[in-house]
Amino acid sequence: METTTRNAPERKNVQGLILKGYTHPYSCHLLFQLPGSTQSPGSTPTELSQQQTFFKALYSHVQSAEDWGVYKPVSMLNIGLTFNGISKLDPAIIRQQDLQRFPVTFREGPASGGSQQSLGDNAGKNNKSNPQNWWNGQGDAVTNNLDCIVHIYSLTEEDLEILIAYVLDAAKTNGLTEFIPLLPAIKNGRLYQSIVDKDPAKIHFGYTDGISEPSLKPSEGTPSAESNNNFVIGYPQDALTVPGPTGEDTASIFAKDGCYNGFRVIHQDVAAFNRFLKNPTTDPAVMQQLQQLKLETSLEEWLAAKMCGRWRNGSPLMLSPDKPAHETSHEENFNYSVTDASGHKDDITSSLRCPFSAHTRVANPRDQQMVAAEGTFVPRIVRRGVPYGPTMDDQVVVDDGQDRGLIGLFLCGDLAGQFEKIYGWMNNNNFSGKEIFSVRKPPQDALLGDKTAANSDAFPGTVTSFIIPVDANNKITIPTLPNFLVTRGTAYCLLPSMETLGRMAGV
Amino acid sequence: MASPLTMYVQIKQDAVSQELAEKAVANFTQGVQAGLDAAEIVHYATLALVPNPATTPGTPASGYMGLLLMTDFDLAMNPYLETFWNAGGGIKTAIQGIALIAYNPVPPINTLTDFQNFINSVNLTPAPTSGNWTNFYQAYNLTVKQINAD
Ligand code: HEM
Repeated sequence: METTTRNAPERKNVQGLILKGYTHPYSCHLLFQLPGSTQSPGSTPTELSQQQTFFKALYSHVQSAEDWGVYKPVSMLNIGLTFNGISKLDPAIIRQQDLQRFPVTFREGPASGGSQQSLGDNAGKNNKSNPQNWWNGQGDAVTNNLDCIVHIYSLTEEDLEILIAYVLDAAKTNGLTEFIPLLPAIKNGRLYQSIVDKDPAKIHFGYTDGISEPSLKPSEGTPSAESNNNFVIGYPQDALTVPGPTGEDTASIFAKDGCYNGFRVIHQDVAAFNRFLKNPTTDPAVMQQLQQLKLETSLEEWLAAKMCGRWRNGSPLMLSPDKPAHETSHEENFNYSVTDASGHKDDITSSLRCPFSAHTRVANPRDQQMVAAEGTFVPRIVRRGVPYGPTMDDQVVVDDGQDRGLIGLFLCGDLAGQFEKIYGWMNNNNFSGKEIFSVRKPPQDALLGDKTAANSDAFPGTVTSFIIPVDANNKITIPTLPNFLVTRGTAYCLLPSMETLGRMAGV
Repeated sequence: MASPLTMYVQIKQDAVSQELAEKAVANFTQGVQAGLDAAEIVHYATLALVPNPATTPGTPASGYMGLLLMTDFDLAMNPYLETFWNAGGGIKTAIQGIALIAYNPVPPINTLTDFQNFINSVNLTPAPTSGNWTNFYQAYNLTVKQINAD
């Protein structure tokens, strides 16, 4: 048990996924129920021993954030536990009475009323993303019983299968139940990473992902939302979002050097997206406005960029407003505001390049001015998601019935203050003043906003139109954006420290 | 989006706690006004003393059983409890003060997690898992900002 006070986590005690973006092209994410009970008197000695044997079998494969030198591990894994899973563990590791020290958002989980206020899956009429439909229609039966997610990564398909087989065998031998999250007919219904367009950096819809991330540097005495103190639990110094729990109780000791994962499987309707780009509106006047634009790219590429804030090659609109440029394709150093000599801050003009409701501008508004309720800083999130399902060509406009989308891993130290706050913004662009968003009819994130949830009680007045300013006096308003996404399932996990995993494994 | 918060905290019966509860109510508006005005998401907030039951029917009761905070604010509860925590001044102090005189021991409220956990543990109107609240009426679902918009 750690007793000395350090200002920054030790990399060797933090699971690798948290501080490193792996580039392994193959991965699979397995969902399990542990043997045991969350109800008093808790798990039986046999169940506790089964849990321990399972974690012991996996422990030597768990990758920490320590530098792996020149040779990447061929295959490796990371482990996350839901609150339900943690509640089944040995009271010698975490006492029952300390469980309530975990943040309420983590304890109650993503299907809870509190979380749904931001995620919006159950908002609006007949929302396909409703938690009851998650996990291929299994809903609460999985959400309420999911204890553990094992994230397996590999350099080759063959090595991935070897490690999957090993984990499944350890699970079976030790009384774990595997949940099958997708349609069982395809790849056994498991969450396998896929490679889109033969390029591991691409995701469905054709965008390049994994560019803009918080620095995750150790704190250097200056408060920042980007340092690893905002993500790794136990180092409140200089963190703006303070991860919890912290203290001397067994929950805080268990959580220290861990990080939360908003695990969210999102189906992407690529055919609907392609259709939209080709035919963005049925309003002839708006279509004419679009066609009259003097563009350096096709209208489709231009629209795709305006919705995201980056061209599909990755170039940010703020740096490459007219066409994608190789030099800017991995650039993350830009802002949305300019302050003039008299101190006046202008964050409106930048919308001529990047619309206010472009996904990347909503998910990280950088220096854009915020309304008072949002506080004084923009929360950040670490993204470690990968695509699943087969590539669909950008010319296809009829759905092929295959499931494809994003296996989203959104890492944070405070699920409410980072993951859910950003989600709320995506569903309802109300975080900046009225010069930027309409107060009465706020828009949504063009890509991520749940259009079914618009103008529900959860997000009153919200509209599904998309405003694209084109010059100082003109803007084009696409009247209605369709839904491109459906939530397939969500889980809140803690990725515990290596030390905690070691205790769970009895090593 | 509205987040109704109906926070009931049973309080200790000793004279000091009872007096502190009276003071909390007397100074409530003054203490929270600036923070709540600035946040522009709170529709109303009221703090009331809940009297002890009378020992015999018809006789006046003495003292207070608890404190009841009723408020309704825009946006999701958990991310925006952070707004009140960080707003500084009156709100944080008021909640910490209430926790100190709570009859049931409350772990110290030193961090945002402690604050969120405490509020949720005493909220009698948590968000329902599906659909709308069955015990919360709103004449309108607009936000404070929407109501105040030109
Ligand atoms: C299928 C769903 C999604 C798609 C297609 C998508 C797509 C993208 C793309 C193409 C980028 C730009 C590449 C980059 O900066 O790395 C991006 C950035 C980003 N996304 Fe998403 N995303 C999705 C879901 C989400 C969700 C659920 C969240 C939040 C919980 C999110 C938060 C972010 C953030 C914070 C950035 C970085 C913005 C910046 O720092 O400039 N994304 N996303």
